Parts: sequence; C-alpha cells; structure tokens
Amino acid sequence: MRIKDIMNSSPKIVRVSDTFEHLIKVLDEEKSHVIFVVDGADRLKGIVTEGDIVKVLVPKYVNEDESLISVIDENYFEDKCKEKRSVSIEEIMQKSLYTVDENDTIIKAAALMVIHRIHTLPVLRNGKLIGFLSRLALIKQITKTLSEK
Amino acid sequence: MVFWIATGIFIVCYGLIVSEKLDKTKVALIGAGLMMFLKIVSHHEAFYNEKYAVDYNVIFLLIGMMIIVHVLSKTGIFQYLAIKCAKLAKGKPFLILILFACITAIFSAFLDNVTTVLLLVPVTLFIADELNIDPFPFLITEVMAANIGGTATLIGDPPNIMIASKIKLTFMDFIYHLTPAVLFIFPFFLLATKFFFGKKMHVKEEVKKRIMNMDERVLLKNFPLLIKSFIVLGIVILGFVFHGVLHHEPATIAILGSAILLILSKEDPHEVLKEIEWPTIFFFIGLFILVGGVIKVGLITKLSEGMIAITNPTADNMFVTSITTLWFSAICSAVVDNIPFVASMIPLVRDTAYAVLPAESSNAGILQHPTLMPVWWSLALGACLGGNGTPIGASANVITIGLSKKAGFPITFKKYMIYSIPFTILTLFISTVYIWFRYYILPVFLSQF
Repeated sequence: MRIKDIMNSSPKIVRVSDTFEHLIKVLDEEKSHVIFVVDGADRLKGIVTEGDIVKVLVPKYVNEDESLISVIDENYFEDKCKEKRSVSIEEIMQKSLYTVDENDTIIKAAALMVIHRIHTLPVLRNGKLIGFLSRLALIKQITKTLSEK
Repeated sequence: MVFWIATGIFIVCYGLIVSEKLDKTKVALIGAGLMMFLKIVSHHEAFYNEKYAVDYNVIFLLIGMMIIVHVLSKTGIFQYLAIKCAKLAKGKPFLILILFACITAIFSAFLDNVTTVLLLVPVTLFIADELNIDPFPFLITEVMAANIGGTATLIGDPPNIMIASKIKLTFMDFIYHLTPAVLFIFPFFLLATKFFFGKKMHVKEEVKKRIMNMDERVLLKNFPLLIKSFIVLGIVILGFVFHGVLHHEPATIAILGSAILLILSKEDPHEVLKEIEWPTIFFFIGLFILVGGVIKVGLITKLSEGMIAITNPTADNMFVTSITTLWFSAICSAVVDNIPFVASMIPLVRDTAYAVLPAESSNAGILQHPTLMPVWWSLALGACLGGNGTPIGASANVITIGLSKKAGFPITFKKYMIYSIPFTILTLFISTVYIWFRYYILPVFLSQF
C-alpha cells in the first residue's frame, strides 16, 4: 500500500508572509490541527501545529526556571495574543521538515513518525505539497487491515 | 630537551584552550596526561608535591560550595528575592536594574558566579517581559555585577581561590584588601549604568502595577530546607571568616558544611552530585598538572626574569609591577579563560618575588611580603574584572548570553563589547587608583603621623 492511497488530499495552507492572526483564523475555520506553509510557487516551507501556536504565547525563559510560571501576570495570555497578532508565520513555523513522496510505502511514513516523534507528514509530488498523512490515518488503516478477512 | 617538550605541550594546550577548537577540559586532561606520561612531572609530583601538584584546596572548596549552592537553589530564595527587589523598586525599571545589580554582586561574592546568573537571568528575563522592556541593560549589568562582586571575597571567583590557596591568604585578607576595592568600584559602575541606560528605561504606570501585583511568596518552595541551608551557609561563612584563627583551610570548612547540609536536607547525594560542574573541576585538575610541568622545567622562572626586566621591581617598591600586572591580567583575562591565566601567573609572580625579595625564613614570609602584596591584589583585580571585557571573558558572560539567546534575545559580540569595554576600562581605572592610593600613597601619608 502506498501513501497516496490513504493520505488526506486537502491540506490546509497559508503563505509564508501571512500573519499569526490569519493563521489562527484559518485554523479556527478549517477545524484543523495542522497548517502547511507554502511560498508563492506552492513549495512547502514549513508546518505549524497547535503546539507551535501555544509555544508562541509562552515565554521561553520558563524552560530554564519553571517556578516563574506561578508569578506570571494573569492577563499575560491575552496581552501576548494581541502583541503577536501581526507576527509573520515564518517566525512561528517549524522549518526543518520530514516529508514523504506520494509513492512511498506506508511503513516508511510510519517509521519516520516513530523515529522522529512526529504526528503529521507532508506528502509531496515533484516537490509540491499535495496532501498529508497523520497518525490518525495510519490507525484507520490498521483498523481496516484487521477487519479484513 | 625536556624544557622544550614541556613548553611545547603547554603552548599547544594553551592555544587549543584559547581557540576553543577543542573542549578545554579535554585539552587540560590530555596535557596533564602527557606531562605525567613523559615523566616531566612524576606521578608523585603531580598528586602530592606542594609546588607542582593539583591544589586540592581549590578543588574541594569549589566542590563544597557547589553542593551548598545547589541545595540552596532548590528553595526558590533567589527568585523570591529578585521579585521582592522589583517590588521594592515599585516596578521602576532603572531602580530594578540597580537592585538586581546589588543582589547579583552580593550573591556572587559568596556563591559562584555561574550559579548566580543561572538563577537570576531567567527571573530577569521574566521581569523585563512583564515590563515590556528590552532585557539587555539588565543582563549586561548583572554579568558585570557578578564579576565585580565575585572579586570581593576569597570564595567569590576562582582566581581568588587559587591565589589564596597558593599564598596562604585568609578569607579576612580578602575582606580587608579586595572588598574595599569592590565597594569603591561599585558606585562608579552603577553611575555608569545610569549614564548608559538611565534615560532609555521608562514604562507606563499600568505596567508597573503588574510587578506590584505579583505574589513572590509562592516562589519559596521548601521553607524548612531554606532555614537549614541558611544556617549551614551562615556557619560556613563564619568558618571562612575564622579559618585563619582556627588553622583550617577554606576547603575543610566547605566540605564539612556541604556534608552537613546533605545530611540535613535529606537530598539524594546522587542527584545533588550530578549537578556539580565536573568538567570545570577536571579542567582545574588537568591545568594544575599542566602548569606544574612548566614550573618544574623552569619556563615560568624564565618568564619571571622577563617580567623583572620589564617592570624593574625592587625589594622596596613594586608599583610598576603592580599596575602592569593589573592591566596585563585584565587584557589577558578578557580574551583567555582567567583560570589558566592565573594558574600560570601565580608561579610567575612567586618566582619574581624569590628573585627580588630578600630570603626569609618561610615561603609565606616572602610570598606575603608587604612589597609584594599589592601585586597579588592587582592580579586578582585584573583577572576578575578583565573577565567583563568580552562575551567569552568569564563563565558568567557565556552563560548569560547563552540563556538570553535561548529566550529569544540574542546578544551579539559587538553589542556586548560596545558596553563592556567602557565598563571594564572604568572599573580597571578605579582599581588602578585604589592600588596606587591604598598601597603607595596612604602608607607614606600615615607614616608622617
């Protein structure tokens, strides 16, 4: 079985130059957990997950001193949301990506997910984004395989 | 032949340490290993000889203090005090900067600089974030304050620990001679921060309220441990104050104190010992043997002859030697790790002393000769304060810049140097005035009465 047989062919995309505000709007409207970032020629440049979005709002110094979480101002979250409104997606997205080709095997995708602890793999055709494969799609495939007699 | 082999090993190792091409601990250990393997220093000399061996006083004083600081850091007291200071300053950024500089200097005087900045930098970034203000003025001020504060006491900075151990100086010697120097330097340093940053640090009233609304008490995580740590630290500092009278080395006090704190705190020693900076400890061990090798073959004696020729010290006056040592140490410490530099300078000054001063009954007599003492204080001041000069001049600088970058506020070499150079020159200039006045003017003035 090949990746193209089970992938989702409707990836939600935004442009590198779009803003954080636009990204949140797309995420909310499309009810998606992951957004793909492409340039003007539809070449994949990065991905943004829910985790990346939350990370934007949390100060990085808490990684060095977790105790500071307990004294952060109660309006910090709202203030940071507004402050980051016009930040470009390029600053937020994950730039180092693992990708698969539509003709790769499912086990290759599964192995990449396990080795690199990733949940979603962009699927490319001739370097252009045409879909994505999530862990959920793999689980569905396992269910299907087990139900076959 | 042995002379050139030892000198070659030393120069290559020094070059590798300075270039940072290879980890400095690995370099020091391979250098030490070669010195021993080639029998430039024998096994016995490397471990037991007073002149060439590892200085276990330095090693165990560092380990003991690292254990105490690690246990203390678990209590949240550093963060508590930082927030308390920010509230005392009523959220006014420049006042916060001044108070943070003061607590950093005080902590650094009694605890190691790296731990101090490791604990204070995140809380500084937090305060700057809450104030919506650039953290750079706070961070560079804290780095400088850590290195200046560390100069004040025997235990504040490794160069002081090394000098004290070799020359048999007491904690109180440093309190009498270097603490006043730091107290003299610090107000000028704070004035300079006012000049550089005072006008740039203004925030709105509502932002200040955020600071005032913080409850710093939630940061105190383990009150019983805090009390135990303070009691032990207090006793250890008292032990340092009286170690000369008690005829104990500072390392003895630190090891006993850390062992008592380990028992009282009920911490797992495995966990605590994991936090010791073992690479630094092994760097010291390797370095002592490496320097021991070049002392034994006579390289340091030759260098001291050069120093005598240039600065022309006499048994009555070493003013030029003192001031040259101060500035030379500062320049070298800005570009080279000050630990290997001081490890090499101590025997150099010692050999100079043996060549110039009249022979006396004991080593300590010559090494603590009144004419020579300003040179030791100049070495300590130069090595500690020179570390401020560049981003790589001292461990506190490297750690702070690294933490700042991780938090999304990179500090470039250039940005750091624009401020560090004038700050460093200022502190060295004031140190020069201090050395000149205290050791060359004041005694003449007092002798007239």
